[in-house]
Amino acid sequence: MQKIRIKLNRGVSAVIAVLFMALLGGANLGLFGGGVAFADNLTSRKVTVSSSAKGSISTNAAGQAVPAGEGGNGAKANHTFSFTLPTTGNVGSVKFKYCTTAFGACTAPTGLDASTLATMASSTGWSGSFPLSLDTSTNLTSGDAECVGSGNGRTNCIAVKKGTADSESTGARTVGFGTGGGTDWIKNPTSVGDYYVRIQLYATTAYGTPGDSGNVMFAIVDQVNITTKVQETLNFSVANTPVDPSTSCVALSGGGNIFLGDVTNHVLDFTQAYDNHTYFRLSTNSANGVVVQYSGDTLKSGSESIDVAGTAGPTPEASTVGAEQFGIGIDSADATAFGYSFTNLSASAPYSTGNGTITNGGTASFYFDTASKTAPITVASSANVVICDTGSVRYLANISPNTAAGVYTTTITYIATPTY
Amino acid sequence: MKSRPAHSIITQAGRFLVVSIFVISGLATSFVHLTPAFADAPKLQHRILQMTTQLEGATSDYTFRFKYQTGNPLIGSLRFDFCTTPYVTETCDAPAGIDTSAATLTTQVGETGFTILSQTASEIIITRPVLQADSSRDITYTFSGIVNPTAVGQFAVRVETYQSTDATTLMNSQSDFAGSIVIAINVNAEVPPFLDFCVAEIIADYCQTSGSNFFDYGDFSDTTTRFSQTQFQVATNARNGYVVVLEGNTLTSSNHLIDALDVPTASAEGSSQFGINLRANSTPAIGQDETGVGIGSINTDYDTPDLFKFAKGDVLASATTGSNYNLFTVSYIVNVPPDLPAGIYNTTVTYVCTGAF
Repeated sequence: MQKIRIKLNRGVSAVIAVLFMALLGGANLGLFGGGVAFADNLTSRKVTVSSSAKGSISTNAAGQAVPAGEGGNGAKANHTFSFTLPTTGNVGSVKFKYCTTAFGACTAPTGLDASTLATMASSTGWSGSFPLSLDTSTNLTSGDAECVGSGNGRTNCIAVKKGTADSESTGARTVGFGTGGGTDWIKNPTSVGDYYVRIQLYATTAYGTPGDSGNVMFAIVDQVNITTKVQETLNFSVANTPVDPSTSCVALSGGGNIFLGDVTNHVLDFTQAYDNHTYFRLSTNSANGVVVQYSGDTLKSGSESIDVAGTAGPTPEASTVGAEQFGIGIDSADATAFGYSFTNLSASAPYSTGNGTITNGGTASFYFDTASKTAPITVASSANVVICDTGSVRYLANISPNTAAGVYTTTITYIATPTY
Repeated sequence: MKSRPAHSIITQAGRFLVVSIFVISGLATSFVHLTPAFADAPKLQHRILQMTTQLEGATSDYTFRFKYQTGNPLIGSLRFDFCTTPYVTETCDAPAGIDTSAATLTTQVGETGFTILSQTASEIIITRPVLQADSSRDITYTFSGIVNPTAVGQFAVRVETYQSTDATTLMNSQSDFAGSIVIAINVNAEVPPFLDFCVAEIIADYCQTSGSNFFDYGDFSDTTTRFSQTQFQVATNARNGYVVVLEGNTLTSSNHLIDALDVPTASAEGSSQFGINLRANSTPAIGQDETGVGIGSINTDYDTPDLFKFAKGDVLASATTGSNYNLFTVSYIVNVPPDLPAGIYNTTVTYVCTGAF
């Protein structure tokens, strides 16, 4: 649990203590005059509040409920008081009174409500034989008009007492409220501002014979709502040459032309199979997956075309030298630097077996469907986000002796479709 | 916070208040910029933008698939804004080249009945009488005729739904659809004109030739038919096929000759005959039928077993389109009469293959 701790430092405490005593001393002389063993300022005082949000706030900026006791929930907060007893003496009860000012008449903070507390959540350091417990039954309003509330004056006051008053030695003490379930919480003031809790120890269990005392302060502030947005991303690029994705998933750039055939003239020969590669790179935060599809025709020269690879099924086909074939496949064995890197994507059948040899009857197999011209076909997909994957698409071309002469071309387009 | 010595005239608490005011003030200023106009607006669910092509500047169909936001919202209109960025907090800058002004709403699935209310180069608003949309229903709206952005990279389509029918008030969802523009992959290859033709005594696949190109029949006899065979193989990608033409003359010796058979004729010992055909023959037992997967065919005059002919300029075999390999076997027969003048008879036969590209 992250708590916001607000305290007065010793310099302020000292000033406040002097003023407190100066202002209240005269009025309280009578009270203190009954042989009280201690009537000093509590030292090292602070109140730690679980939330500095207004008591009207229990949800975050997105409208989602904030659990009780967390920083964003001012409606159900816990307050823990810490202080050091400066002198040894009897302690029977303690009253924590929330006011808008440190001194003078106490006005209950607007919206504050401690009346729903059901337990004393914690206490440490108390050395007497009789433990403190939350007192909700004693009517505080009868002896202290500044404790208000329709019940026993618990709207702005919290009281704890022992079964029997006994001696407490000097030293650090803590008392905490509001870490239970249900309504066992403190509702913070509902207005922004500084607020004070006047702590008063009593030598009796009936809130008589005031002893050590001191004020602590806390502040209610506006919550800082930070809104940001992660945009839907779809970084998709294709090219004939891969580049280092580096740490930013650098997009592929450069040309989109590739040639099939001999290296010099790009001429096909029916006695040999030819291949080449292009690449796509994808990065997307689409939580519901993404598909990479292709769309295009087989190699064509005027009215002539080269038969596609593969058979019904669909079943990919190994290279058959001397027979017309045009096909594609994802080449997971592409040794080109940065040429293949699937981490999130998976190649889709029948395009997942483009790795291997392309000699006649080789181990690689290929497929192509000209129906992709009007209905793009998936070659790779992911069910989740894709951090930065590079796909290597291998193209196979074989011709037969009677494949008509000509310059054959086709345009293949790749499409990435994410689902957000 | 690291504690500091209390010698400053500003106490720690005092500093906290001052700093708090400053920080909160600063954040409040930033908040104006960070907070979307409709920061937590519901979103359309399962959003998919399908493009028929993502090529730069191409005309594409844009299919938006989604489910309406939860809660069965009242829907009267939708605004589709094509922007360089998806952030709803930022000004929508239209991607260069985008043009939706001629788009048409071609498909509606799910909640239907929409028509285009207005459209610009980068914005389309569709409208219909207000309906309570079913949040569980799969929705598809396809716009055809949208010209893609011309720059490679990402762009976005911001889609807002409104209860009003003119997309001006009562907005109830804001969503983004991401799109991407890529270059095309152009695959190029060249198939050269090809005519593979070979002649030899023996030919294996793909014109692997062997054997002799010279045949010596020895001494002729009027009671015995002399014969031999050669082969030719042809394949071409000539679009209009090929022809193989017979060139050469009959056997001659000085001014004497053995008659060439000018019509298909059976071999007859004691006659003056020189002829060929391209079939498997039994009289004499020579030759073999055409083989291969090509579409080449034999001229009918040379396509009957045991009938032979020799006419210079005749087409022996042909194909009307490009053809894979066919292997043809040419059988030669020679018969001589008893009164054939003595001499050395010879000839050279030439085969000419012509592709019609």
